[in-house]
Amino acid sequence: MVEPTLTGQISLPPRPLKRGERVWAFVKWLVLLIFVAYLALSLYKTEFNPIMLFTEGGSIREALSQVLRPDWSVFGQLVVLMNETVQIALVGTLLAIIISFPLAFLAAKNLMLGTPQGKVVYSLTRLIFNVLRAFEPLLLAVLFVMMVGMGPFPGVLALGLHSVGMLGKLFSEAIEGIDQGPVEAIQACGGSRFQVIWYGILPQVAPSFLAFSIYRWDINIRMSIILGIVGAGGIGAVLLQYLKLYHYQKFGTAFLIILVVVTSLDYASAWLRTRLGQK
Amino acid sequence: MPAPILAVENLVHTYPDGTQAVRGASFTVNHGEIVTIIGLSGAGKSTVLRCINGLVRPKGGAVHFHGKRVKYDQESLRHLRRSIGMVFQHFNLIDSLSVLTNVLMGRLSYQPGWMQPLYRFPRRDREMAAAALGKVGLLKEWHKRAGELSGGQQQRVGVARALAQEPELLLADEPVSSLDPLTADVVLGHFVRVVRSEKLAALMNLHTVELARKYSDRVIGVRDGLVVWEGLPAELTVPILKNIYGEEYDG
Repeated sequence: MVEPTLTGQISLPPRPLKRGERVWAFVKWLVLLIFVAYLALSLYKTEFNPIMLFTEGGSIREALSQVLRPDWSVFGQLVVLMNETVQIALVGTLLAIIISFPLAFLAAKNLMLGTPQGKVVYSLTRLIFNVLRAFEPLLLAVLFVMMVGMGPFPGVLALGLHSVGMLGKLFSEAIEGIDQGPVEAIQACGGSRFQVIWYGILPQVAPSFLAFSIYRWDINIRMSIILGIVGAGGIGAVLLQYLKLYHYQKFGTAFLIILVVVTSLDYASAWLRTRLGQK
Repeated sequence: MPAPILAVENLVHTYPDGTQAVRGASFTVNHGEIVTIIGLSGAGKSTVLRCINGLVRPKGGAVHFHGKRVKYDQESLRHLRRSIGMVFQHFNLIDSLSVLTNVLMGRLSYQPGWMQPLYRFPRRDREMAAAALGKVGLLKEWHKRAGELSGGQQQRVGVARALAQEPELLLADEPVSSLDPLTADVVLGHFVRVVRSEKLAALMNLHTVELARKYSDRVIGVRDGLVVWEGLPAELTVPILKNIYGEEYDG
């Protein structure tokens, strides 16, 4: 027997092959090959051709140069519309918070899976969240414009409903992540079911609830710009109009306003959320 | 001799995963008495304590509090838990709330309905919470967030929360196991002094024989979910400890 020394080289014993390992390796390579082939096909199908941007971009270049020379005469009117967009997002988010807050508790595993009735309620609430998330806000906006007519209100409804699905999921996951200790302590103090939730759970999840809500408002501002295109209020409506009528300079003004507002609110929300995280 | 404040009879509990945590434990705790349960981790100490205030619903046997059999429906439990305070190994405070609010949790079962959503408590309850904080020597820290305090201070807040209930019996589940040995001794000493001065009864689980010897009136040895020994702290000899902790025990 050879004693291994500090300087001596020890060769590793051969790694035992698992059953079917060779087959698996083959399958993995095959899947990768198929994926690459599909990607190549997709590039062809989508007529992906960056060169076109330069060879056939004459009109685009002309438009772009106009966009870069904004027409400030519409500034006041656009600020009013942008404000409406932000407000649609705000009210939509608030609506979503009010609806998803109570529902989130019904969709939290740790609270609901104890009893058979609880399991049913849990599954139903989760299903509602999933369905609401599946509906694109744009689709919902089209639907609500048909129902209540054009204007900011259908935008509020569309954003609100879609956000219920998103916020509900995030809220309930926050509830599932709590420390059970305080809950047990509140129970041991003789606290009611409401008190267990209000004093044992709420303080633990409040910072993340707030952070998720601010983040959602942030996303909804960007979404509500698009919603205007289908008639659901805000700056989006004129955006499409300017494009159709080749008013590129006015479009440029709108573009700038959106850029400034969205970026600054983005920073504000990120800053607020970090503050909440550090607390 | 008056009837014991707590009588546990033939207590049995099996967890859903099949673990037989308690297999027929019987013992009593008298008024004004401090009783310690010792035994290995997993011997069923925690489960026994949790069966007494219904955090765990036992599968068999009975618990009598003040001679009345404990019922495990929600209403009876809420009533029972008013008179039994509990102190936890990991303190179980709400770190983001103030020390005072944490102590006020002990008054939850007296909080009027309309005040509940608002985090408000009647003046009398706030005074009682302040008094409880005074008893553990933390009155000055009432406004701090519970999470800011040191481990030893946090457990004293846990004790104050239990005291604010004006309980007759205190349960303490490994109250000092997450503290360093020195702090553990100080905090447990504090706890025992308060229990004595308030003339309460206490039942606690302890990790170390040394602390059990120092601070209890009576010791119960639990092994594999059964009470295998009961006696005075002074009677804890090595053969008895070997019986409780297994042959590997070395004093």
